[in-house]
Amino acid sequence: MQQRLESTSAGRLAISVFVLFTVFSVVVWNLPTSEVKTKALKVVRPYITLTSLDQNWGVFSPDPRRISIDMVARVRSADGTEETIRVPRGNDLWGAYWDYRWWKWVEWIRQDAQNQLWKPAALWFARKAASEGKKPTQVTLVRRWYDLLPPGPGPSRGPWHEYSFYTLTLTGSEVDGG
Amino acid sequence: MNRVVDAWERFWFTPVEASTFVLFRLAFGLVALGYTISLAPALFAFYSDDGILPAQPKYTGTLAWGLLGWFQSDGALIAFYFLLLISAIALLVGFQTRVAALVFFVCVISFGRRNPWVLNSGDLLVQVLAFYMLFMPAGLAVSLDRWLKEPRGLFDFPVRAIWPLRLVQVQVSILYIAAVWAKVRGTTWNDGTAVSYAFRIEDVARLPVPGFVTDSLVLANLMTFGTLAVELSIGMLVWNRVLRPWVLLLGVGLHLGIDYAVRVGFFSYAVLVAYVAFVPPDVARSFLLGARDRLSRVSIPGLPALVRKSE
Repeated sequence: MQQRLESTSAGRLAISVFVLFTVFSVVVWNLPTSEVKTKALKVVRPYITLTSLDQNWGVFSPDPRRISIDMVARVRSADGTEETIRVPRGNDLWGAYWDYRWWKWVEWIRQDAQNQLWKPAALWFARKAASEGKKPTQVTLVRRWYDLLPPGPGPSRGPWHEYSFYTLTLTGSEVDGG
Repeated sequence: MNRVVDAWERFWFTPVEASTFVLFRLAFGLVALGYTISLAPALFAFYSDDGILPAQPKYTGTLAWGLLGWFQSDGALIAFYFLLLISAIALLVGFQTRVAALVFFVCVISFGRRNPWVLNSGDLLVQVLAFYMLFMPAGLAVSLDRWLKEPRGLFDFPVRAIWPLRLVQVQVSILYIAAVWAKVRGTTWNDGTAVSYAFRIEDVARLPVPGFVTDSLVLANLMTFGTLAVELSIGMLVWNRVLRPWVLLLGVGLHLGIDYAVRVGFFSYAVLVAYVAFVPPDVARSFLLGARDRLSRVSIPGLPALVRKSE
């Protein structure tokens, strides 16, 4: 069918409209924040979101992070013990191709603006502890980070800091998924 | 006016051998398969209602869609995962190629929409390429589709209009120009220290980069400004026929370096797949025929050669 479309003038016109609008939409989506972009987005946003051409090439932009981050969950159980559960991390060779998604999530969850992610995360850590035979009663999410110092002579990083940013006290039904 | 129309026709509708489409499909199929396998370890953690995001976010005011938001059971999740896996394999071997491209696109978008908090730029690029893959006549040769229809024509490449490859080429150019634009607004890309910081972020670091590389201000400057120069060169000079292979070669080096040092997932490989859109059809044909000849020499005891040379 595509070949038939390409072989007629009307078909090539239809394809031309499609490619022109697609390229226009992608260009608009990638414009820097501006009035022109805001106005043009009203036209192209439905198409871009429908086709999933929404894209972001700001890798390490406008600046790479100047901190290394980590997050752990401290899970207290009914027997009084507390364990620290870390975010999954694979090995550097193959594991890096699946665990990067966890670290993208950590980048988001540590932000106060994304607090809607906190309770589900705490529940997930609680279920993980429960699956290992614990009876979790409280989960605390802890941000950890250290500063990266400018390159050059002297130390390259600062000490680890940590801050408990969310605590969830649990009922059994929550952990069971109820 | 006629000259503009002619130029437009030439740019988008020049007929080319389908060898580049086929090579693109093979490269994309490999990445799609690896991408799908990489979802398995955290499938339920990321996408089930017992996971870190119990329900798909609401995309109000857009036409964003995702089938995992409509079918929320673990059974549906497993079914979609297997559809993704089967479609990636079908793309690789070229079986029902158009249908496979559509199924892969629908599934990969559905996973992306279900949990956008775990996506990086590589995931987005896989989604974008999956969209362009929909329009590629990529099952015309070196595919199960062709073998079932005409076994002796497996390595014959029919001619088709170039426009789906052009879309990918334009996308590559936009990608780099947007990347440079985003970077030059920053401080560390201007003072030449950005790459040193990027390599030292422990949570995204992958294989070791020696301390003397990241601690040296001169090397940090060279790597930072070099990255900007390579990205800008690809964005602009990839349209120059003479310079194209050289800037793309620099890009290959840049992305393999990034893949070595940083946990970027499938970003580097997806970019390299996009580069395939620039491979001239005669080069793609030579590569595929060379691969066929090498495979034809491989034989497993008791079985015929893996691929037979055409008469």
